[in-house]
Amino acid sequence: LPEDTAVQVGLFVPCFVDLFYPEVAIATVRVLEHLGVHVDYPEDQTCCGQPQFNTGRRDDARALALRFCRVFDRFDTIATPSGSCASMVRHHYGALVGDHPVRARVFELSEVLARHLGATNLGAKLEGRAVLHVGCHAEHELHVGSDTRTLLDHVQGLSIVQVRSSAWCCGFGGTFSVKFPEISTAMGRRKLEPMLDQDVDFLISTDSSCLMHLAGMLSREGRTRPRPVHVAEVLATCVEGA
Amino acid sequence: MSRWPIRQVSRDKLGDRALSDKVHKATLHTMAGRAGLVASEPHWEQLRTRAREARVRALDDHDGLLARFCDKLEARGVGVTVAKTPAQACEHITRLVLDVGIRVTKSKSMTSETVGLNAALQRAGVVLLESRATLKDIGPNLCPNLGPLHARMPLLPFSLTLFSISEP
Repeated sequence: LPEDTAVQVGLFVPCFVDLFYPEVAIATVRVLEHLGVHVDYPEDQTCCGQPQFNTGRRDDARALALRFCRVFDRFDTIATPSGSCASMVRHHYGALVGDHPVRARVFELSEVLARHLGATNLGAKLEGRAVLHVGCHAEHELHVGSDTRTLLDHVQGLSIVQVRSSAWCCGFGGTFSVKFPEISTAMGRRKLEPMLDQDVDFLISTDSSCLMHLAGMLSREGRTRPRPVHVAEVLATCVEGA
Repeated sequence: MSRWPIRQVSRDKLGDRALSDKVHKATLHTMAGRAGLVASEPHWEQLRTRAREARVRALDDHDGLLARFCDKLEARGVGVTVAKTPAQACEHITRLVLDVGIRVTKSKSMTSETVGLNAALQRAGVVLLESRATLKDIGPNLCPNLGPLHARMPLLPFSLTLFSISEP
């Protein structure tokens, strides 16, 4: 990030967050503004094109990628509360738009906070025991897991519990869950089992899509714990009234 | 429609907890092996990027590359026939084999498994001896009735205690 006082960040809100969990986008804005960042949300943004790309619809994906690059071209830093979408732009846009400079300017929220702003202790507070699920793209393609863990380690009252399934895929996988819902659900169930044994209060993730998948299973079983929470929502507790 | 409808098969098999446990264990084992390989290769990410780019390039120009491959083969005197269906492929290969004889040694390949070549050759009276390159390829010999799955996957449903391995 530029070293001036008025840091400006373009906010990219993924489809899942926009349509199902807008509170995650609001929490992201609160956290960034709490740190003095000026957040700009370009209203003409759309999907990053990942579902189209993953289903072989290369031309449709390219049209959305070009749009993304055009809409966000004026920002030096683009933040998004999703490892999956950030990774799509950074690692897979090359196949669609070549070496467009926007690709390297997109960061998952934990990266922006811990690496670029150097903010690890935001003064957030959340009482309880939680399991952290870092989405596959965030963990294996962006390598932001350690940043997320550092941020959560500084949350007052929060204890992160390691379970056998902490590093396992939740089974969502975007269009994978549509093509193979039975396998997707079986993977999610296996992911949840060790958490339920540990009786944790929260299930925290970098990605709302993973949380939606796991939360759906929990709610269908009538379970109220663990409560699914996005990292941004946990960190936004640093803001009065969040 | 695939001869092996994966949706239906997976739906049926997901109820088998013991099998599911074995697949899960095998997956974690594979992931751990991959992690070890990644750790041992300092240029892993660069190699991976190059491989991904090569794959994408190939996918983007699949038809052109295939045509070039066929041209190169023909330039070296190799006859090339393009089969549009598994049946066409089996029919053509069977005809080539029968022109030469009926005792055939064939290398193991998943493509030939997928198109059902072994069965087609045997229906035509061909006596088939299939080579097994490695130990993992003995899977279909141990469980020949499970169909053309990946060579070592047929072993997965079984526990090692079912087999007694004798020293040569």
